[in-house]
Amino acid sequence: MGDWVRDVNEFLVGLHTTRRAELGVEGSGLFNHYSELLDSGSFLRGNELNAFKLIRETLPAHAEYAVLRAGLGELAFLLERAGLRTVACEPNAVRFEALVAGVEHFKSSGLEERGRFRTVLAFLPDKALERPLLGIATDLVFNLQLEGDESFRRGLRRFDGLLVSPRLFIRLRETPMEQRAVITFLRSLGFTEITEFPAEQMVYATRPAGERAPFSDDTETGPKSSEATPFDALVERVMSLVPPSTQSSTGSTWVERRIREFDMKSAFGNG
Amino acid sequence: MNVLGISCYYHDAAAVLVRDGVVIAGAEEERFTRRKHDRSFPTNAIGYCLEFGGIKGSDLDLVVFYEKPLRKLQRGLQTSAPLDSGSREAAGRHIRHYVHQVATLPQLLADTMGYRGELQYCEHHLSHAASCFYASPFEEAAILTVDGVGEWATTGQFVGSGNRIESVREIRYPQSLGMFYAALTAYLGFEVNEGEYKVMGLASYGQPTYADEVARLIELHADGSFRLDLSYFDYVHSFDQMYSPKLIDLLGPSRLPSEPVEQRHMDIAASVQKRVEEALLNLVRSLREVSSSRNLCMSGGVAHNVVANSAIQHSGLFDGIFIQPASGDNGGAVGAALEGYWRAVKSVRVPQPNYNTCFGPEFDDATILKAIKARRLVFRRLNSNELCGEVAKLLHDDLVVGWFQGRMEFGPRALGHRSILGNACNPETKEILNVRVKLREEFRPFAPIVTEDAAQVYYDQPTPSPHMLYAPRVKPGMEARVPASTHVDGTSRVQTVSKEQNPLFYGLLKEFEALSGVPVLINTSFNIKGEPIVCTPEDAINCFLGTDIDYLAIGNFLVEKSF
Repeated sequence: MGDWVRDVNEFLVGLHTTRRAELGVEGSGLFNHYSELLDSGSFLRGNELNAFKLIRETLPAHAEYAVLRAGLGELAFLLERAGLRTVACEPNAVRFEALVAGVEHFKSSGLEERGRFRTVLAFLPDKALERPLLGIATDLVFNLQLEGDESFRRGLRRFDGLLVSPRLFIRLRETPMEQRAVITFLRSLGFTEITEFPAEQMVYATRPAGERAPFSDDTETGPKSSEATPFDALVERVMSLVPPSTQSSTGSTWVERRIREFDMKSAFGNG
Repeated sequence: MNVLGISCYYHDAAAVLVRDGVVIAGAEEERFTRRKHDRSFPTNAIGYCLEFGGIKGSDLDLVVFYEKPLRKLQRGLQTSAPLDSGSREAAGRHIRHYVHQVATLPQLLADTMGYRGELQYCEHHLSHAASCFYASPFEEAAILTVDGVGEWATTGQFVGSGNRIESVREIRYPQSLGMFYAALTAYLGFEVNEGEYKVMGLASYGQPTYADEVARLIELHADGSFRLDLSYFDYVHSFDQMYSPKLIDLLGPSRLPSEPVEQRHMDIAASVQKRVEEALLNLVRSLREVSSSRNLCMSGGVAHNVVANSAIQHSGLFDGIFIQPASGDNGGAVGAALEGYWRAVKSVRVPQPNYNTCFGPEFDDATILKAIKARRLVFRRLNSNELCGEVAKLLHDDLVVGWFQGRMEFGPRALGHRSILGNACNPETKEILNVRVKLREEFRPFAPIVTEDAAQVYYDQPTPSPHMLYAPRVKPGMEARVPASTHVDGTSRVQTVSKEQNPLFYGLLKEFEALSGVPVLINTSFNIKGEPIVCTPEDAINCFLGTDIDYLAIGNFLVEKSF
């Protein structure tokens, strides 16, 4: 396992050092968060390694693993390196480009174990190639009120199991009460079998034995609502191109600009 | 070179005409349509600007819209995704409507005014920044813009030098000082985008006993930035509700508009006002650190917080301060036009030492007389000196006078052109105006207007305040001389008038001083609650007849009620 971690980390550091030098902090998709990790020489952090360890050593085997908000793909590459069928979901277009660059580099480096690695420009996977499907959310912070969003809830219900970090689920949750709310939320989606891993600060949620996730049958959640309109498709498409806030969850909220030449002709304008 | 600036489709639609780098005409659409905060395409305001400029639409060199619509749409789409289903549907309608409006803007310009030239788009906060810097008396300045939200930015720090503005950094939605104040405005039972002034006025009656609780809502950082705890706010994912149940858990039940204002509400308002002042001072302090300038320009809706403006002025962080009098979205039209102009030319910018915000229409005696006669009113024609003498006497007798003179003001304040006047020396004037004329809440203060040379005798205001943008303390011992203008906390939102700026009004104040010994009057906007400030003689006469205003001084005519 140590070799896999080192291999993935080295290949990511090498790739993104070059990309950052060529494209800059934002253009490379690193933004401040990954740029700082790059400077530290290690992309893989404790919560991802904990998730990987749990998947490898503790949780029941799944046929496919979906890494949600995969970022640069650090955990996804690690899973693939371990021979697990993996889909990396990343909704941010710029970061997705970095992820795709990583996939190409991963393949050309001969690190890809089975050649089945998939990427999706979205919050959640579009389909399951094999079942059961495990969703992994080690850092799914969007600072949005997604719990009440029916399309998001429906997407989560499609998984057979979820491995989540309650502290970093949808928003930063520092208090035990806020973290317990995650379990309540997962239960409301039908994941009533909850296993807590306090040392790893993770929760594994799954359905009762014999109950199958309705991945290919959206009608199970009721008649198709107005969400399934072309407008919503447009929303989802544009949403996938929307860059996330570059603000961290704590500390300064400033976004540096230093722009002197404003693009007055464009209705979209400078970044 | 003629550049037209336009703001519309959110609130306070406006149009402004800049010629050779100077604003020559401008007006809010609401003044013509008589719909307060009218957001529609400003057909009437544009028509006025072109007429004043003596040009046709096809003569314009450039038209600039005050924000980046696609970037704003991007935010709308991103924030609509997590909305609850009801709000999501409403968001969909809004976004469709907005897309249609923006997509048809060039065609609308062609159809309504025959303009088929280039349409540019100025970032929302750049429009605010330009509206204050290019209108300022400064060659260079640090610039702070703070409002609810533009495209993404809610707060901007800029530096301006000569004819260029540079964006330094910004804070983005949903972190927003304006939304924070708006959410608490809604919590206190007042209308968002309208009731913020009421919260500020209410704050003076309270003590900041909720300061600790309010500090939990928004933390301030050493680098000047701030961060809202969004778990207390719902504005990100709901169109209907700006605050969450957690805020009610923290501060207690919210107030319904129909419920009486209690001491608790006043204390919460005071606590919110205190936190906003701290946040603004923090922003200004950090701006002082990132900019070498000793001059500060401010704009954006939060810059209308006159109490905070005074705190900034008294902090001494900057030597010179200029605040755009129309700091809301209406002022975006000013900034868009000015930015468009200075981006298009290479000439040297001349600072504007005496920015005059009266860009609106004025009416000659013949037009005014026609309006008076149409309503069969009793009137006298007087020359300027006679008019000032007569009106001063009426005011000294505690009567209320409508004052309609010259070009209409641009922005939310009546600055002595479309005003209702009262006797500042009479403590009952406030009640008379609130109850008989303005029909508004009793706790809201009225502003004094004072000769510039006597201002420091009465008020602790270190600089002239021609645009009513500060709330200095009344000097000790002077409260009794101007009781009607002194708010409960001992401050006044003062406006100063010099002979050069407004000789007619200055003359009126001197006449009043000759009678009372005090060159101070109460000046409030010429409208009643829920209506825009009057624009035309007909509007003024309607308001005069519909309220308990005793006399109307309109042009060279003094009109009285015959009943």
